[in-house]
Amino acid sequence: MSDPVGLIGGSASPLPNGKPQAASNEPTDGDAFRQALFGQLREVSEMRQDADKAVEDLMTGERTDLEGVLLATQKADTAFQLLQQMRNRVMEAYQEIQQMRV
Amino acid sequence: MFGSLDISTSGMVAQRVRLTAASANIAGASVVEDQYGNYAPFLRREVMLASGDPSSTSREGRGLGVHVREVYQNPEALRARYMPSSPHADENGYVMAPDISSVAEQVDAMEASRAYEANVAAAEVSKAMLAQALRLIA
Amino acid sequence: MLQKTISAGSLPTLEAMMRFTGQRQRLLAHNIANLTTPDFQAKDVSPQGFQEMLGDAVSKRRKQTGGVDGRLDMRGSREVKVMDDGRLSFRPADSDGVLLHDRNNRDVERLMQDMTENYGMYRVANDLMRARMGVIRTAISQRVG
Repeated sequence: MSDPVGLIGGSASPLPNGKPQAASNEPTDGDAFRQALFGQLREVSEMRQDADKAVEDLMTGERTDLEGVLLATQKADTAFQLLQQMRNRVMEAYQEIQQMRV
Repeated sequence: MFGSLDISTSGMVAQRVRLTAASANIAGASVVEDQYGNYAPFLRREVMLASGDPSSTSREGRGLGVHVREVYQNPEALRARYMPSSPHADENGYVMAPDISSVAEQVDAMEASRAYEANVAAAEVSKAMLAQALRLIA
Repeated sequence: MLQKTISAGSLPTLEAMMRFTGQRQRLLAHNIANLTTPDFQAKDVSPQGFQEMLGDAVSKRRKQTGGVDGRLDMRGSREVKVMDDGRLSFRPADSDGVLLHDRNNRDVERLMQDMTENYGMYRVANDLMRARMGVIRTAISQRVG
C-alpha cells in the first residue's frame, strides 16, 4: 500500500515533507498509525506553544527580534494547516471506504 | 481610538486660525484708518489657545484636544510712527500705527504650519490604526 | 471551553498590547494638538512600564500553569489601571522636555518618534492577532463530513 505522507510505518519521522515515500514493507498496524498521528499532533502542539511563548515575550519586551517571532508563528501555523489537510484526507479516505459496496 | 481623530482635527483647526491671523496681521500692518478715513489703526490679532475641546460631545472628549479661547485684538500693539503728512498725525508728526513685524508674523505662520502638519500626521496614524483594527473582523 | 479557546495562548497579551497602544495614540494626539498651547504640560504613559507589568503577569501565569494557556492577571501600575472588562485607564505622568519660551515643554521630534513607535507596536500586535484568529477560524471552518 502506498504511503505518500509517511504516516503508516510507525517511523518517528519529523513532519512529512510531501515527497512520496517508498512503500513500507511493514503491515498496516492501527496502533502504529495512531502513535504516528499523535506524534504529529504533539509536535504541532509544541510548535504552537513555542510560537505563543515567542509572541508573548515580544509583547512583554523579553524579546526584540520581530523576525524570529514571525518565523516561529509562521512555522506553527503552516504545520497546523498541514495537519488539518492530512486529517481531511484521512477522513475522506475513511468515508470512501465506508461507502464501498463489498 | 475614535476620539483621536477629533483631537487631531481640533489641532488642525486651531493652527489654521493662527495661520489666518498671521496673514491678517501682515495685511493690516500699515493700516491706520478705516474706509471712511477715521482713525482706526489695525490691532494685531493674537490667537489664544487652550487645551480641551468644549465642542466635544463626551465629558472625556472635552478634556482633550485644543480650542481657540479667543482671537484677541491687542489694543497695545501700537507704536509711534513718524508720518507727518498723515491727517492723524499729532503735533510732532507721529501717528500711533500697528506694531506688527511681518518677519515675526511669518515665523509664527511657519510654526503654525509645522504644527498643522504634525496634527495631520497624527490623524493619519489614527486612521491607519482604525483600518488595521477593522481588518481583524474581515 | 469557549473562554479557554478565545483566551488561548498569546491572545491575551496581544489584546492587552493593542488596547494600550490604541489608547496611547489618543494621548499622543492630544500632546500634538497642544504643541503651541502656552502653559501646556505634555503627559505620557511609559510603554516600558506597561511591558514590565505585562511581563509580570505572564511570568506569574507561566509559574501557575507551566505553559502558555490561561488567563492573565494584570495588576496594573501607577500609570495604567486595568478594569474588569479588560479596558485600561491611564493616569499619565508629566513627560520631560525642554521648557520653551511659552512655557510649553514640547519636543515635536520626540513626539513624532513616540507616535511612530507606538503605531509600530500596534501594527505588530494587530497583525499577529489577525494571524492567530485566522488559524482558529480555519480550525473551526474545516469540517469534513
